[in-house]
Amino acid sequence: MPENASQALVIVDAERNYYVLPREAVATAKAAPEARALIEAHLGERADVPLCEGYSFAGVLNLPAEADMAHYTSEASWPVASVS
Amino acid sequence: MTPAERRAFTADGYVHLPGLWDGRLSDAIAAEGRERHAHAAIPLSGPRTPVVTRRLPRRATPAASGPLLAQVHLALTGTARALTGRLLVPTFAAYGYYEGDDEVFLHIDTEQCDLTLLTTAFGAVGPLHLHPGLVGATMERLGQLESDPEWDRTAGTRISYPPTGVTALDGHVLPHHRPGRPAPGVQAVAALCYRALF
Repeated sequence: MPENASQALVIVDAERNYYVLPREAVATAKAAPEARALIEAHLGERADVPLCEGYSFAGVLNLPAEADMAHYTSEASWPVASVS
Repeated sequence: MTPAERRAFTADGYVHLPGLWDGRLSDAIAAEGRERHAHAAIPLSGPRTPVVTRRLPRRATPAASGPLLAQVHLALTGTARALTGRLLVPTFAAYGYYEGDDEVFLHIDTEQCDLTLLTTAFGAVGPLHLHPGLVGATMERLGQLESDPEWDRTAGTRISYPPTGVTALDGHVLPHHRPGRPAPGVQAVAALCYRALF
């Protein structure tokens, strides 16, 4: 998407509700390259529907429930000073 | 979650989210926090601010987790995602106990905390000071400031957590500290951390 603050990706649902995703939101959601394989493994049916400006709709991500707990630990963590 | 709250978080690196729960849950969190104090220990992980020996605190901050806090942590995952627009997942939730003093050295949170939700579990904890002017500073630099007697420990944007909700903080990016003040008894902050899955 070009560097234009007024541009946004727009998706629409079956009831014609629009969802406007501004450029900043899209940039924030950019996944690290090393996550590509994991994302592709969990995309449902690949869509690859061209949108605009080089973007395509890739599909719907369906992660297993355990993915939500992939980084969870019951071990507490807290700031502590150390000697420099 | 309102658009104004999302904009504020993006612009300032923090936003207060009051009214997420009622007084009964606040009381229950306080009760669990007090009960878990007996099980608290100095954590093996977390931000480590490197300071000169003379600046070492008299005591580190013990921390403990708890089942109610874990439930709240998981329940707020959707709020965390809505606020940031990122696919966040919970990493850890803990009570941190300040005994006699509520000082926190200048630091940024670890990579476990792409988003940190903070609330007072019990007691009266002083304001947290945020330092947008220090964004990008390394922990070594933050430790140098903490070690410098000339550094103004009253500096920064002061924030206080809402009583029935959280302050959402971009804690891995935005340096923060609490100057500390003598406070009789024990106070506790609850921290809920999330990281982006991708």
